[in-house]
Amino acid sequence: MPSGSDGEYLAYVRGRLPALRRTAYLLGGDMHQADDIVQETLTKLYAQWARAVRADNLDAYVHTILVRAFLDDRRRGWWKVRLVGGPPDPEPAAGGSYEDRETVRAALRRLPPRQQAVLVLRYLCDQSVQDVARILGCSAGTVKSQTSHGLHRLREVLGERPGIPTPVIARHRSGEVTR
Amino acid sequence: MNKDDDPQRLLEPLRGEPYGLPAYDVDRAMADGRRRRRLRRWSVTAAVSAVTLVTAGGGTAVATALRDDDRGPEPLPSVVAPVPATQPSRELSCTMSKLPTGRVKKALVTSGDPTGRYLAGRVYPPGEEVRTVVWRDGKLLSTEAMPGSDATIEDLNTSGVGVGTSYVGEDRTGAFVLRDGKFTALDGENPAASSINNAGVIVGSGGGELERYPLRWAAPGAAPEKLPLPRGMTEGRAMLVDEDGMVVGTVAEPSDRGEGSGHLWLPDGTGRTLPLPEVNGKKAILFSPESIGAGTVAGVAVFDDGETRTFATLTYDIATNRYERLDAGQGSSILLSADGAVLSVNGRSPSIRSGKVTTDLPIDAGREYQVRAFSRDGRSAAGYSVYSVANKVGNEPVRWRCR
Repeated sequence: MPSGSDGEYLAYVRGRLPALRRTAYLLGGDMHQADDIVQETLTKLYAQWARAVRADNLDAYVHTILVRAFLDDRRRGWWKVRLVGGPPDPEPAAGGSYEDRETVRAALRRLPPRQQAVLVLRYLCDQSVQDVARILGCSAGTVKSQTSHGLHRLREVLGERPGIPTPVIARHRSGEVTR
Repeated sequence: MNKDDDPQRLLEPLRGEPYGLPAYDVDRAMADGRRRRRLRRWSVTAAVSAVTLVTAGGGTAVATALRDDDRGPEPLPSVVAPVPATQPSRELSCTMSKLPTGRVKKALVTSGDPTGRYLAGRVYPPGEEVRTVVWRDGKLLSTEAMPGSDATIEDLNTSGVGVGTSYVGEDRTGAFVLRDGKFTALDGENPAASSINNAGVIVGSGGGELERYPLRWAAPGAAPEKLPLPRGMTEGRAMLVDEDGMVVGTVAEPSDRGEGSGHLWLPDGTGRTLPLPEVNGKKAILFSPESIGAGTVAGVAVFDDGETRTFATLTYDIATNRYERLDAGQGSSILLSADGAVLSVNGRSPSIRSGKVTTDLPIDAGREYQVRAFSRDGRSAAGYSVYSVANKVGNEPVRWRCR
Protein backbone atom coordinates (compact mmCIF):
# COMPACT_ATOMS: atom_id res chain seq x y z
CA MET A 1 0.00 0.00 0.00
CA PRO A 2 1.50 3.36 -0.98
CA SER A 3 2.36 5.61 1.94
CA GLY A 4 2.33 8.94 0.14
CA SER A 5 6.00 9.59 0.87
CA ASP A 6 8.26 12.10 -0.87
CA GLY A 7 10.22 9.22 -2.38
CA GLU A 8 7.10 7.78 -4.01
CA TYR A 9 6.17 11.24 -5.31
CA LEU A 10 9.62 11.74 -6.86
CA ALA A 11 9.65 8.28 -8.39
CA TYR A 12 6.21 8.86 -9.87
CA VAL A 13 6.71 12.34 -11.35
CA ARG A 14 10.16 11.58 -12.80
CA GLY A 15 8.63 8.88 -14.92
CA ARG A 16 5.74 11.06 -16.07
CA LEU A 17 7.32 14.45 -16.69
CA PRO A 18 7.91 14.05 -20.46
CA ALA A 19 4.30 12.95 -21.02
CA LEU A 20 2.89 15.73 -18.84
CA ARG A 21 5.00 18.34 -20.63
CA ARG A 22 3.90 17.02 -24.00
CA THR A 23 0.20 17.13 -23.08
CA ALA A 24 0.59 20.64 -21.68
CA TYR A 25 2.36 21.76 -24.86
CA LEU A 26 -0.30 20.25 -27.14
CA LEU A 27 -3.10 21.85 -25.11
CA GLY A 28 -1.82 25.42 -25.41
CA GLY A 29 0.82 25.37 -28.12
CA ASP A 30 3.09 27.58 -26.02
CA MET A 31 6.20 26.11 -24.42
CA HIS A 32 6.40 28.70 -21.64
CA GLN A 33 2.75 28.22 -20.75
CA ALA A 34 3.24 24.45 -20.90
CA ASP A 35 6.05 24.59 -18.34
CA ASP A 36 3.95 26.86 -16.09
CA ILE A 37 1.10 24.35 -16.29
CA VAL A 38 3.40 21.43 -15.48
CA GLN A 39 4.83 23.39 -12.54
CA GLU A 40 1.34 24.07 -11.19
CA THR A 41 0.39 20.42 -11.71
CA LEU A 42 3.47 19.19 -9.82
CA THR A 43 2.74 21.61 -6.98
CA LYS A 44 -0.93 20.64 -6.67
CA LEU A 45 -0.08 16.97 -6.92
CA TYR A 46 2.48 17.24 -4.13
CA ALA A 47 0.05 19.20 -1.95
CA GLN A 48 -2.52 16.41 -2.42
CA TRP A 49 -0.09 13.50 -2.69
CA ALA A 50 -1.27 11.54 0.35
CA ARG A 51 -4.78 11.39 -1.14
CA ALA A 52 -3.70 11.16 -4.77
CA VAL A 53 -1.82 7.88 -4.31
CA ARG A 54 -5.08 6.27 -3.23
CA ALA A 55 -6.78 7.07 -6.54
CA ASP A 56 -7.68 4.05 -8.66
CA ASN A 57 -6.12 5.66 -11.70
CA LEU A 58 -3.36 8.01 -10.64
CA ASP A 59 -2.39 8.95 -14.20
CA ALA A 60 -5.95 10.08 -14.94
CA TYR A 61 -6.00 11.98 -11.65
CA VAL A 62 -2.81 13.85 -12.58
CA HIS A 63 -4.07 14.60 -16.08
CA THR A 64 -7.22 16.03 -14.51
CA ILE A 65 -5.07 18.41 -12.45
CA LEU A 66 -3.08 19.34 -15.54
CA VAL A 67 -6.10 20.02 -17.76
CA ARG A 68 -7.73 21.98 -14.95
CA ALA A 69 -4.58 24.13 -14.72
CA PHE A 70 -4.79 24.73 -18.47
CA LEU A 71 -8.47 25.72 -18.25
CA ASP A 72 -7.79 28.06 -15.32
CA ASP A 73 -4.97 29.65 -17.26
CA ARG A 74 -7.17 30.12 -20.32
CA ARG A 75 -9.99 31.63 -18.27
CA ARG A 76 -8.03 34.31 -16.54
CA GLY A 77 -4.96 34.81 -18.65
CA TRP A 78 -5.86 36.23 -22.01
CA TRP A 79 -4.17 39.55 -21.24
CA LYS A 80 -1.16 37.94 -19.61
CA VAL A 81 2.07 39.16 -21.15
CA ARG A 82 5.07 36.95 -20.79
CA LEU A 83 8.35 38.76 -20.43
CA VAL A 84 10.88 36.22 -21.54
CA GLY A 85 14.59 36.99 -21.55
CA GLY A 86 17.43 35.16 -23.23
CA PRO A 87 17.82 33.80 -26.73
CA PRO A 88 14.79 32.64 -28.69
CA ASP A 89 13.81 29.02 -28.41
CA PRO A 90 14.64 26.68 -31.26
CA GLU A 91 11.87 25.88 -33.70
CA PRO A 92 9.66 23.04 -32.50
CA ALA A 93 9.49 19.86 -34.48
CA ALA A 94 5.83 19.93 -35.46
CA GLY A 95 3.57 18.05 -37.79
CA GLY A 96 2.96 20.88 -40.26
CA SER A 97 4.46 24.05 -41.62
CA TYR A 98 4.75 27.13 -39.43
CA GLU A 99 1.87 28.82 -41.30
CA ASP A 100 -0.42 25.82 -40.96
CA ARG A 101 0.41 25.43 -37.31
CA GLU A 102 -0.25 29.08 -36.50
CA THR A 103 -3.47 29.12 -38.52
CA VAL A 104 -4.92 26.03 -36.87
CA ARG A 105 -3.75 27.13 -33.41
CA ALA A 106 -5.36 30.57 -33.88
CA ALA A 107 -8.59 28.89 -34.96
CA LEU A 108 -8.48 26.50 -32.02
CA ARG A 109 -8.08 29.42 -29.60
CA ARG A 110 -11.39 30.79 -30.86
CA LEU A 111 -13.15 27.80 -29.30
CA PRO A 112 -14.26 27.71 -25.67
CA PRO A 113 -11.40 26.33 -23.55
CA ARG A 114 -13.11 23.03 -22.76
CA GLN A 115 -13.78 22.35 -26.43
CA GLN A 116 -10.10 23.04 -27.09
CA ALA A 117 -9.16 20.56 -24.38
CA VAL A 118 -11.53 17.88 -25.72
CA LEU A 119 -10.19 18.14 -29.28
CA VAL A 120 -6.55 18.12 -28.22
CA LEU A 121 -7.00 15.23 -25.80
CA ARG A 122 -8.96 13.15 -28.31
CA TYR A 123 -7.09 13.84 -31.54
CA LEU A 124 -3.57 14.86 -30.54
CA CYS A 125 -3.17 12.91 -27.31
CA ASP A 126 -5.18 9.99 -28.72
CA GLN A 127 -7.31 9.57 -25.61
CA SER A 128 -10.60 7.68 -25.84
CA VAL A 129 -13.98 9.32 -25.26
CA GLN A 130 -14.19 7.55 -21.90
CA ASP A 131 -10.71 8.68 -20.85
CA VAL A 132 -11.43 12.29 -21.79
CA ALA A 133 -14.71 12.10 -19.85
CA ARG A 134 -12.82 10.80 -16.82
CA ILE A 135 -10.19 13.54 -17.07
CA LEU A 136 -12.77 16.31 -17.43
CA GLY A 137 -15.19 14.85 -14.91
CA CYS A 138 -18.15 14.76 -17.27
CA SER A 139 -20.16 12.21 -19.22
CA ALA A 140 -18.97 10.48 -22.37
CA GLY A 141 -21.97 12.01 -24.10
CA THR A 142 -20.85 15.48 -23.16
CA VAL A 143 -17.41 14.76 -24.59
CA LYS A 144 -19.02 13.61 -27.84
CA SER A 145 -21.17 16.74 -27.98
CA GLN A 146 -18.20 18.99 -27.30
CA THR A 147 -16.24 17.16 -29.98
CA SER A 148 -18.97 17.75 -32.55
CA HIS A 149 -19.40 21.40 -31.57
CA GLY A 150 -15.65 21.99 -31.52
CA LEU A 151 -14.92 20.33 -34.87
CA HIS A 152 -17.79 22.11 -36.56
CA ARG A 153 -16.67 25.44 -35.18
CA LEU A 154 -13.04 24.78 -36.05
CA ARG A 155 -13.93 23.98 -39.66
CA GLU A 156 -16.15 27.04 -39.77
CA VAL A 157 -13.37 29.33 -38.53
CA LEU A 158 -10.75 27.78 -40.81
CA GLY A 159 -13.02 27.92 -43.81
CA GLU A 160 -14.57 31.33 -43.39
CA ARG A 161 -12.02 33.69 -41.95
CA PRO A 162 -11.00 36.17 -44.62
CA GLY A 163 -7.32 37.02 -44.82
CA ILE A 164 -6.23 33.84 -43.10
CA PRO A 165 -5.07 31.11 -45.43
CA THR A 166 -6.80 27.78 -45.22
CA PRO A 167 -4.21 25.35 -43.96
CA VAL A 168 -2.85 22.91 -46.49
CA ILE A 169 -4.00 20.01 -44.42
CA ALA A 170 -7.57 21.31 -44.37
CA ARG A 171 -7.57 21.73 -48.14
CA HIS A 172 -6.39 18.16 -48.54
CA ARG A 173 -9.17 17.04 -46.29
CA SER A 174 -12.00 17.90 -48.59
CA GLY A 175 -10.18 18.19 -51.87
CA GLU A 176 -11.41 21.72 -52.39
CA VAL A 177 -10.84 25.16 -51.02
CA THR A 178 -14.00 26.55 -49.48
CA ARG A 179 -12.82 30.13 -49.86
CA MET B 1 -11.88 5.69 -43.85
CA ASN B 2 -11.84 5.63 -40.10
CA LYS B 3 -14.26 8.21 -38.70
CA ASP B 4 -11.49 9.75 -36.65
CA ASP B 5 -9.08 10.24 -39.55
CA ASP B 6 -10.66 13.49 -40.61
CA PRO B 7 -10.40 15.43 -37.33
CA GLN B 8 -6.94 14.01 -36.73
CA ARG B 9 -5.77 15.38 -40.06
CA LEU B 10 -7.43 18.71 -39.37
CA LEU B 11 -5.45 19.05 -36.15
CA GLU B 12 -2.30 17.43 -37.53
CA PRO B 13 -0.38 20.75 -37.92
CA LEU B 14 -0.50 21.08 -34.13
CA ARG B 15 1.12 17.73 -33.49
CA GLY B 16 4.61 18.29 -32.16
CA GLU B 17 6.99 17.63 -29.36
CA PRO B 18 8.03 20.01 -26.57
CA TYR B 19 11.31 21.78 -27.20
CA GLY B 20 13.90 23.73 -25.24
CA LEU B 21 15.06 23.07 -21.71
CA PRO B 22 12.24 22.40 -19.24
CA ALA B 23 11.51 25.39 -17.03
CA TYR B 24 9.67 23.51 -14.30
CA ASP B 25 11.37 22.67 -11.04
CA VAL B 26 10.32 19.63 -9.00
CA ASP B 27 12.05 20.87 -5.83
CA ARG B 28 10.18 24.17 -6.05
CA ALA B 29 6.91 22.27 -6.64
CA MET B 30 7.51 20.26 -3.46
CA ALA B 31 8.35 23.38 -1.45
CA ASP B 32 5.26 25.23 -2.73
CA GLY B 33 3.12 22.13 -2.30
CA ARG B 34 4.30 21.77 1.30
CA ARG B 35 3.28 25.39 1.93
CA ARG B 36 -0.17 24.71 0.47
CA ARG B 37 -0.56 21.67 2.72
CA ARG B 38 0.10 23.84 5.75
CA LEU B 39 -2.28 26.51 4.55
CA ARG B 40 -4.98 23.94 4.00
CA ARG B 41 -4.58 22.54 7.47
CA TRP B 42 -5.19 26.00 8.82
CA SER B 43 -8.18 26.70 6.64
CA VAL B 44 -11.29 24.66 7.35
CA THR B 45 -12.94 25.88 4.16
CA ALA B 46 -10.04 24.82 1.98
CA ALA B 47 -9.82 21.42 3.65
CA VAL B 48 -13.50 20.68 3.10
CA SER B 49 -13.39 21.60 -0.55
CA ALA B 50 -10.22 19.61 -1.16
CA VAL B 51 -11.72 16.40 0.18
CA THR B 52 -14.28 16.44 -2.60
CA LEU B 53 -11.52 16.08 -5.19
CA VAL B 54 -11.54 12.32 -4.86
CA THR B 55 -14.85 10.58 -5.24
CA ALA B 56 -15.90 7.59 -3.19
CA GLY B 57 -14.95 5.26 -5.99
CA GLY B 58 -11.45 6.63 -6.10
CA GLY B 59 -12.02 8.31 -9.43
CA THR B 60 -11.48 11.95 -10.03
CA ALA B 61 -13.84 14.88 -10.06
CA VAL B 62 -13.27 18.25 -11.64
CA ALA B 63 -14.81 21.41 -10.27
CA THR B 64 -16.16 22.62 -13.53
CA ALA B 65 -18.01 20.29 -15.81
CA LEU B 66 -18.22 21.12 -19.48
CA ARG B 67 -20.59 24.00 -19.24
CA ASP B 68 -19.78 26.10 -22.28
CA ASP B 69 -22.86 27.32 -23.99
CA ASP B 70 -21.24 28.23 -27.29
CA ARG B 71 -22.60 25.90 -29.88
CA GLY B 72 -21.21 25.04 -33.25
CA PRO B 73 -23.05 21.90 -34.14
CA GLU B 74 -23.57 20.31 -37.50
CA PRO B 75 -26.92 21.03 -39.08
CA LEU B 76 -29.45 18.26 -39.37
CA PRO B 77 -31.48 19.04 -42.46
CA SER B 78 -34.55 17.07 -41.49
CA VAL B 79 -37.78 18.34 -40.04
CA VAL B 80 -40.53 17.37 -37.69
CA ALA B 81 -42.99 19.82 -39.19
CA PRO B 82 -42.62 22.92 -41.33
CA VAL B 83 -42.13 26.27 -39.68
CA PRO B 84 -45.49 27.96 -39.36
CA ALA B 85 -45.69 31.53 -40.61
CA THR B 86 -47.60 32.78 -37.61
CA GLN B 87 -47.39 36.51 -37.63
CA PRO B 88 -47.40 39.06 -40.42
CA SER B 89 -43.84 40.29 -40.64
CA ARG B 90 -41.65 42.84 -42.25
CA GLU B 91 -37.93 43.25 -42.20
CA LEU B 92 -36.74 45.23 -39.21
CA SER B 93 -34.47 48.24 -39.31
CA CYS B 94 -31.74 47.68 -36.72
CA THR B 95 -28.72 49.55 -35.41
CA MET B 96 -25.79 48.26 -33.38
CA SER B 97 -24.05 50.18 -30.61
CA LYS B 98 -21.11 49.22 -28.44
CA LEU B 99 -21.71 49.13 -24.71
CA PRO B 100 -19.37 51.19 -22.52
CA THR B 101 -16.80 49.19 -20.55
CA GLY B 102 -14.95 51.81 -18.50
CA ARG B 103 -12.11 51.62 -21.01
CA VAL B 104 -11.59 47.92 -20.41
CA LYS B 105 -10.94 46.38 -23.81
CA LYS B 106 -12.30 42.89 -23.23
CA ALA B 107 -15.89 42.60 -22.04
CA LEU B 108 -19.03 40.68 -22.90
CA VAL B 109 -22.78 40.42 -22.28
CA THR B 110 -24.16 37.38 -20.45
CA SER B 111 -27.88 38.20 -20.08
CA GLY B 112 -30.60 40.82 -20.23
CA ASP B 113 -34.02 41.66 -18.80
CA PRO B 114 -37.30 41.18 -20.70
CA THR B 115 -37.50 44.86 -21.73
CA GLY B 116 -33.94 45.19 -23.03
CA ARG B 117 -33.24 48.09 -20.63
CA TYR B 118 -30.99 46.11 -18.32
CA LEU B 119 -28.04 44.06 -19.54
CA ALA B 120 -25.45 42.17 -17.53
CA GLY B 121 -21.98 40.99 -18.41
CA ARG B 122 -18.34 40.74 -17.44
CA VAL B 123 -15.30 42.96 -17.93
CA TYR B 124 -11.69 41.73 -17.97
CA PRO B 125 -9.48 44.54 -16.64
CA PRO B 126 -5.81 43.83 -17.42
CA GLY B 127 -4.01 42.56 -14.36
CA GLU B 128 -7.15 42.57 -12.22
CA GLU B 129 -9.86 40.07 -11.44
CA VAL B 130 -12.61 39.59 -13.98
CA ARG B 131 -15.79 41.19 -12.63
CA THR B 132 -19.49 41.34 -13.33
CA VAL B 133 -21.14 44.54 -14.60
CA VAL B 134 -24.65 45.80 -15.34
CA TRP B 135 -25.81 48.31 -17.94
CA ARG B 136 -29.09 50.26 -17.83
CA ASP B 137 -30.22 52.02 -20.99
CA GLY B 138 -26.77 51.48 -22.42
CA LYS B 139 -24.92 53.06 -19.49
CA LEU B 140 -22.65 51.25 -17.06
CA LEU B 141 -24.10 51.15 -13.54
CA SER B 142 -22.16 51.25 -10.34
CA THR B 143 -22.57 47.78 -8.88
CA GLU B 144 -20.58 45.43 -6.70
CA ALA B 145 -18.73 42.60 -8.38
CA MET B 146 -20.28 39.20 -7.76
CA PRO B 147 -18.15 37.23 -5.26
CA GLY B 148 -16.25 34.19 -6.50
CA SER B 149 -14.54 33.27 -9.75
CA ASP B 150 -16.13 32.63 -13.15
CA ALA B 151 -19.02 34.81 -11.96
CA THR B 152 -21.92 35.09 -14.39
CA ILE B 153 -25.15 37.06 -14.07
CA GLU B 154 -27.50 34.61 -15.76
CA ASP B 155 -30.73 36.62 -15.84
CA LEU B 156 -32.34 39.93 -14.87
CA ASN B 157 -35.96 40.92 -14.35
CA THR B 158 -37.58 44.19 -15.43
CA SER B 159 -36.67 45.83 -12.09
CA GLY B 160 -33.01 45.14 -12.75
CA VAL B 161 -32.80 42.43 -10.09
CA GLY B 162 -30.29 39.86 -11.30
CA VAL B 163 -29.33 36.30 -10.41
CA GLY B 164 -26.17 34.40 -11.13
CA THR B 165 -23.62 31.85 -10.11
CA SER B 166 -19.91 31.70 -9.41
CA TYR B 167 -17.32 29.32 -7.99
CA VAL B 168 -16.69 30.21 -4.35
CA GLY B 169 -14.31 27.36 -3.58
CA GLU B 170 -12.35 24.71 -5.40
CA ASP B 171 -15.44 22.65 -6.08
CA ARG B 172 -18.28 24.73 -4.70
CA THR B 173 -20.68 27.08 -6.42
CA GLY B 174 -22.51 30.01 -4.92
CA ALA B 175 -25.73 31.58 -6.18
CA PHE B 176 -26.33 35.30 -5.76
CA VAL B 177 -29.03 37.92 -6.14
CA LEU B 178 -28.11 41.41 -7.32
CA ARG B 179 -30.41 44.13 -6.03
CA ASP B 180 -29.71 47.85 -5.75
CA GLY B 181 -26.12 47.27 -6.79
CA LYS B 182 -25.36 44.72 -4.05
CA PHE B 183 -25.07 40.94 -4.10
CA THR B 184 -26.54 38.65 -1.47
CA ALA B 185 -26.05 34.89 -1.39
CA LEU B 186 -28.93 32.50 -1.93
CA ASP B 187 -29.40 29.60 0.47
CA GLY B 188 -28.72 26.08 -0.70
CA GLU B 189 -26.12 23.35 -1.07
CA ASN B 190 -23.80 24.22 -3.97
CA PRO B 191 -26.56 26.42 -5.39
CA ALA B 192 -26.72 27.76 -8.94
CA ALA B 193 -29.29 30.37 -9.97
CA SER B 194 -30.25 30.65 -13.60
CA SER B 195 -33.46 32.65 -13.98
CA ILE B 196 -35.68 35.18 -12.18
CA ASN B 197 -39.12 36.51 -13.13
CA ASN B 198 -40.76 39.85 -12.32
CA ALA B 199 -42.45 38.39 -9.24
CA GLY B 200 -38.99 37.62 -7.85
CA VAL B 201 -39.26 33.85 -8.23
CA ILE B 202 -35.81 32.35 -8.84
CA VAL B 203 -34.97 28.93 -10.21
CA GLY B 204 -31.76 26.95 -10.48
CA SER B 205 -30.22 23.85 -9.00
CA GLY B 206 -28.21 22.50 -6.12
CA GLY B 207 -26.16 19.46 -5.11
CA GLY B 208 -23.06 17.82 -6.59
CA GLU B 209 -21.87 18.43 -10.13
CA LEU B 210 -23.34 15.21 -11.47
CA GLU B 211 -26.15 14.91 -8.91
CA ARG B 212 -27.99 18.17 -9.37
CA TYR B 213 -31.54 18.67 -8.20
CA PRO B 214 -33.86 21.46 -9.41
CA LEU B 215 -34.50 24.31 -7.01
CA ARG B 216 -36.98 27.15 -6.72
CA TRP B 217 -36.67 30.13 -4.42
CA ALA B 218 -40.07 31.86 -3.92
CA ALA B 219 -38.26 35.16 -3.31
CA PRO B 220 -34.63 36.32 -3.04
CA GLY B 221 -34.48 35.78 0.75
CA ALA B 222 -36.51 32.56 0.79
CA ALA B 223 -35.24 29.07 1.52
CA PRO B 224 -34.92 26.90 -1.59
CA GLU B 225 -37.51 24.23 -2.29
CA LYS B 226 -36.71 21.16 -4.35
CA LEU B 227 -38.88 20.77 -7.41
CA PRO B 228 -40.24 17.24 -7.79
CA LEU B 229 -38.50 14.84 -10.15
CA PRO B 230 -40.54 12.39 -12.21
CA ARG B 231 -40.37 8.71 -11.26
CA GLY B 232 -37.06 7.11 -12.24
CA MET B 233 -35.26 10.41 -12.62
CA THR B 234 -32.60 11.21 -10.07
CA GLU B 235 -31.17 14.45 -11.37
CA GLY B 236 -32.53 17.74 -12.65
CA ARG B 237 -31.92 21.43 -13.19
CA ALA B 238 -34.42 24.27 -13.41
CA MET B 239 -33.24 26.67 -16.10
CA LEU B 240 -35.96 29.21 -16.90
CA VAL B 241 -38.99 30.64 -15.12
CA ASP B 242 -41.59 32.62 -17.03
CA GLU B 243 -43.97 35.31 -15.78
CA ASP B 244 -46.71 32.74 -15.08
CA GLY B 245 -44.38 30.73 -12.86
CA MET B 246 -43.85 27.96 -15.39
CA VAL B 247 -40.40 26.44 -14.96
CA VAL B 248 -38.41 24.84 -17.76
CA GLY B 249 -35.41 22.64 -17.12
CA THR B 250 -34.01 19.18 -17.56
CA VAL B 251 -34.27 15.85 -15.78
CA ALA B 252 -31.97 12.85 -16.08
CA GLU B 253 -31.70 9.20 -15.10
CA PRO B 254 -28.63 8.01 -13.21
CA SER B 255 -27.17 6.54 -16.40
CA ASP B 256 -27.31 9.91 -18.14
CA ARG B 257 -24.51 11.25 -15.90
CA GLY B 258 -25.90 14.75 -15.79
CA GLU B 259 -27.15 14.98 -19.37
CA GLY B 260 -30.79 15.80 -18.90
CA SER B 261 -33.68 16.26 -21.30
CA GLY B 262 -36.46 18.85 -21.25
CA HIS B 263 -39.00 18.95 -18.44
CA LEU B 264 -41.74 21.42 -17.46
CA TRP B 265 -42.85 22.24 -13.95
CA LEU B 266 -46.27 23.78 -14.55
CA PRO B 267 -47.76 26.52 -12.33
CA ASP B 268 -50.50 24.11 -11.14
CA GLY B 269 -47.86 21.94 -9.48
CA THR B 270 -47.86 19.18 -12.07
CA GLY B 271 -44.91 18.25 -14.21
CA ARG B 272 -44.39 17.05 -17.74
CA THR B 273 -41.29 15.55 -19.28
CA LEU B 274 -41.10 16.61 -22.90
CA PRO B 275 -41.31 13.70 -25.36
CA LEU B 276 -38.14 13.00 -27.31
CA PRO B 277 -38.53 14.39 -30.82
CA GLU B 278 -38.18 12.15 -33.85
CA VAL B 279 -36.73 13.59 -37.01
CA ASN B 280 -36.74 11.62 -40.27
CA GLY B 281 -37.35 8.43 -38.35
CA LYS B 282 -34.43 9.07 -36.02
CA LYS B 283 -35.22 9.59 -32.38
CA ALA B 284 -33.32 12.19 -30.41
CA ILE B 285 -31.56 11.05 -27.24
CA LEU B 286 -32.43 14.33 -25.54
CA PHE B 287 -33.94 17.76 -26.06
CA SER B 288 -32.13 20.59 -24.37
CA PRO B 289 -34.28 23.70 -23.71
CA GLU B 290 -32.72 27.09 -24.39
CA SER B 291 -35.49 29.67 -24.28
CA ILE B 292 -39.19 30.07 -23.57
CA GLY B 293 -41.64 32.23 -25.50
CA ALA B 294 -45.42 32.44 -25.34
CA GLY B 295 -46.38 28.80 -24.84
CA THR B 296 -43.31 27.61 -26.70
CA VAL B 297 -39.95 26.19 -25.69
CA ALA B 298 -37.04 26.49 -28.12
CA GLY B 299 -34.12 24.13 -27.84
CA VAL B 300 -31.71 21.72 -29.41
CA ALA B 301 -32.46 18.06 -30.13
CA VAL B 302 -29.40 15.83 -29.87
CA PHE B 303 -28.92 12.70 -31.98
CA ASP B 304 -26.18 10.21 -31.14
CA ASP B 305 -24.93 7.50 -33.49
CA GLY B 306 -22.27 6.15 -31.17
CA GLU B 307 -19.14 8.10 -32.06
CA THR B 308 -20.61 11.40 -33.21
CA ARG B 309 -23.58 13.60 -32.54
CA THR B 310 -25.81 15.77 -34.71
CA PHE B 311 -28.23 18.46 -33.69
CA ALA B 312 -31.45 20.13 -34.76
CA THR B 313 -33.16 23.26 -33.45
CA LEU B 314 -36.82 22.75 -32.67
CA THR B 315 -39.65 24.42 -30.82
CA TYR B 316 -41.98 22.53 -28.53
CA ASP B 317 -45.56 23.76 -28.32
CA ILE B 318 -46.74 23.28 -24.74
CA ALA B 319 -50.46 23.27 -25.61
CA THR B 320 -50.29 20.75 -28.45
CA ASN B 321 -47.36 18.67 -27.14
CA ARG B 322 -45.78 18.83 -30.58
CA TYR B 323 -42.40 19.79 -31.98
CA GLU B 324 -41.80 21.99 -34.97
CA ARG B 325 -38.69 22.71 -36.91
CA LEU B 326 -37.12 26.02 -35.94
CA ASP B 327 -34.39 26.20 -38.56
CA ALA B 328 -32.43 28.65 -36.42
CA GLY B 329 -28.71 29.18 -36.63
CA GLN B 330 -26.89 27.08 -34.07
CA GLY B 331 -23.81 29.24 -33.63
CA SER B 332 -24.98 30.73 -30.33
CA SER B 333 -27.93 30.81 -27.97
CA ILE B 334 -31.40 30.50 -29.46
CA LEU B 335 -33.64 33.14 -27.92
CA LEU B 336 -37.38 33.71 -28.32
CA SER B 337 -39.40 36.90 -28.02
CA ALA B 338 -42.95 36.85 -26.64
CA ASP B 339 -44.45 36.64 -30.12
CA GLY B 340 -42.21 33.84 -31.30
CA ALA B 341 -39.50 35.82 -33.12
CA VAL B 342 -36.16 34.01 -32.93
CA LEU B 343 -32.74 35.53 -32.29
CA SER B 344 -29.87 33.23 -33.26
CA VAL B 345 -26.51 33.16 -35.01
CA ASN B 346 -25.99 31.45 -38.32
CA GLY B 347 -22.32 31.16 -39.13
CA ARG B 348 -21.02 34.53 -38.04
CA SER B 349 -24.23 36.54 -38.59
CA PRO B 350 -26.75 37.22 -35.85
CA SER B 351 -30.28 37.52 -37.14
CA ILE B 352 -33.88 37.88 -36.01
CA ARG B 353 -36.40 35.71 -37.74
CA SER B 354 -40.05 36.59 -37.44
CA GLY B 355 -42.40 34.38 -39.42
CA LYS B 356 -40.83 34.04 -42.84
CA VAL B 357 -38.85 37.26 -42.64
CA THR B 358 -35.24 37.26 -41.49
CA THR B 359 -33.43 40.45 -40.52
CA ASP B 360 -29.65 40.25 -40.40
CA LEU B 361 -28.36 42.39 -37.57
CA PRO B 362 -25.60 44.90 -38.40
CA ILE B 363 -22.10 43.78 -37.41
CA ASP B 364 -18.50 44.86 -37.75
CA ALA B 365 -16.94 43.08 -40.70
CA GLY B 366 -14.50 40.32 -39.85
CA ARG B 367 -15.91 39.64 -36.41
CA GLU B 368 -18.08 36.84 -35.15
CA TYR B 369 -20.94 37.30 -32.70
CA GLN B 370 -22.64 35.60 -29.80
CA VAL B 371 -26.16 36.60 -28.72
CA ARG B 372 -27.20 36.50 -25.07
CA ALA B 373 -30.30 38.70 -24.63
CA PHE B 374 -33.53 39.28 -26.54
CA SER B 375 -36.35 41.49 -25.29
CA ARG B 376 -39.91 40.20 -25.07
CA ASP B 377 -41.02 42.66 -27.77
CA GLY B 378 -38.33 41.37 -30.13
CA ARG B 379 -36.93 44.84 -30.69
CA SER B 380 -33.83 44.79 -28.51
CA ALA B 381 -30.99 42.28 -28.54
CA ALA B 382 -27.53 42.09 -27.04
CA GLY B 383 -24.41 39.98 -27.20
CA TYR B 384 -20.75 40.35 -27.96
CA SER B 385 -18.26 40.16 -30.79
CA VAL B 386 -15.39 37.71 -30.97
CA TYR B 387 -12.19 38.67 -32.76
CA SER B 388 -8.47 38.05 -32.75
CA VAL B 389 -6.11 40.52 -31.16
CA ALA B 390 -2.41 39.79 -30.74
CA ASN B 391 -3.10 36.07 -31.09
CA LYS B 392 -5.64 36.21 -28.27
CA VAL B 393 -9.41 36.31 -28.36
CA GLY B 394 -10.98 39.72 -27.86
CA ASN B 395 -14.63 40.40 -26.98
CA GLU B 396 -16.68 43.58 -27.23
CA PRO B 397 -20.20 43.91 -25.80
CA VAL B 398 -22.87 45.27 -28.12
CA ARG B 399 -26.59 45.82 -28.28
CA TRP B 400 -28.91 46.05 -31.23
CA ARG B 401 -32.11 48.07 -31.35
CA CYS B 402 -34.71 47.54 -34.03
CA ARG B 403 -37.77 49.34 -35.31
